[in-house]
Amino acid sequence: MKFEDLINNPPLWINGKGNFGEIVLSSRVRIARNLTPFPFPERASDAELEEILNITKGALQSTPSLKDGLFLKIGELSAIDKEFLRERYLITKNLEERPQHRGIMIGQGEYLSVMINEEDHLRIQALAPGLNLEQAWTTAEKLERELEGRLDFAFSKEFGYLTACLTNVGTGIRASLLVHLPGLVHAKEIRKTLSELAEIGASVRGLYGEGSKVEGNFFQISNQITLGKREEDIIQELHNEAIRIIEREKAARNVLIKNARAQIEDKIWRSYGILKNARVLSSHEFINLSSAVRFGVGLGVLPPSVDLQVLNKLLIVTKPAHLQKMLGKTLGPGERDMRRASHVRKQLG
Amino acid sequence: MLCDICHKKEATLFYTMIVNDKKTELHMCEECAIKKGLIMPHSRGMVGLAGIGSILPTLLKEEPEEAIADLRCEVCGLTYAGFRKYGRLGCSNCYNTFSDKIKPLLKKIHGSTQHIGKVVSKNEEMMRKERRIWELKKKLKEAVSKESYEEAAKIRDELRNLGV
Repeated sequence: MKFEDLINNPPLWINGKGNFGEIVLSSRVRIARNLTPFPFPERASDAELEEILNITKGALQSTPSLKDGLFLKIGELSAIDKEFLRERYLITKNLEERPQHRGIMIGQGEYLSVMINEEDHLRIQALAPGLNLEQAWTTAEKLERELEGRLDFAFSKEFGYLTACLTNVGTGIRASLLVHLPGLVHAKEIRKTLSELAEIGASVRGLYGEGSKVEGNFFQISNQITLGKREEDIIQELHNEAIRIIEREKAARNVLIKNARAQIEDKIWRSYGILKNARVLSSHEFINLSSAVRFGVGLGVLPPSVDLQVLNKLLIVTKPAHLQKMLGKTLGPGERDMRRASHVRKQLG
Repeated sequence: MLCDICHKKEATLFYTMIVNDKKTELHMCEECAIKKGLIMPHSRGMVGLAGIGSILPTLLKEEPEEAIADLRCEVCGLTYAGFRKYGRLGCSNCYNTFSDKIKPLLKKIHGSTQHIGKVVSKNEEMMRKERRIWELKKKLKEAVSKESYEEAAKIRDELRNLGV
């Protein structure tokens, strides 16, 4: 696997074919682990970080799960390549901004990846299309088991798997879902639905996780509690919560359609019209218009050539670094907006 | 709107805390939020919505400095004051060092202080041994570079006893 393979092929988990794909874009499970003798990355010396990177790289490359995967040292990448990996959900802003002695291992199809020396020594990440946390968990746990025979994870009987931040200790699991909730936003029920989530120990963030803002009616919901619960229960509880949110979203969409079908359809067709014809398109405008079009796909009002797979793919490939890597040259902000518009026109047929 | 803590800079972060059913809103500038350990200086990411609500009141409550000054992790050197400042622990041994301080925080964040999920197959004694070996190897390197050969010989003996 080479870096070029990433540029030429979108990740497979974005195919839009999963359960409730019209509402849930993707399911993700992250497992945090640390190696027993070393200080956590924040307090490790450069030499220690490099040693952790080498030990982990060797262990990862020998696992069946990541056979033929792509290993990259973040410190050796150009600024645009790092940005590209972040747009792809493969690395975090933390890794992008502090690249020295950091690494990423990426598996085939990008269902599985591991960040090395992020806040913890290892951050295993598994993704699945639509609502399928169980598949993501199974993928991540399989790799974790393979690694357990090769690496010594920091663990205590009392606190479980030890992590740099107390919010991850215990199971080290963060399960999350990327959901599209235009119905609840329009019906002004979103606040209520999301505040109930906080009460059960789940949290909500924007499209790009921690600290990012909510755009295009996309929300990321995840478990907050990692200690004192079994892994399977954490996964199951978030799944149950997702089902509850999906039902509410569907009900809100039905009410909207019943009360204002013409206005809703008008908004969907206008948004589609702009995306199909615009010559200059900012990232922000694209996300908001594509939200309306996505809503339209869910309602079945748009031509069949516009499907979830196309929309999901566009969400990633219209990002600045993706546009530039695919073209093979640097573009200024104005040029990017033109390039984005032409790309979207082509994809929407 | 000005920051509620320094009253000088423009507030860019807004937190709602619920403590004992009482709702408090706090507006902060980025600098003060970093100082309070709510966000990392480099990530500019939040600790997590529920996490903030529960950690914040504890972190904001000023403990007397002398009570916390002497707590220090002997493996990584992190002090309790340092942990309070950055909101992150330094190594796995910090969980032993700050055990009593950590438990009330864990209770607030997770509602529990006991792991019941999957367990690592290796036992803790083995891990403690590995950690000791790693520490000794580090000390040995230092002793050799300082040319204190007597100390180095002692460390070597201990390593031998541990089967290295």
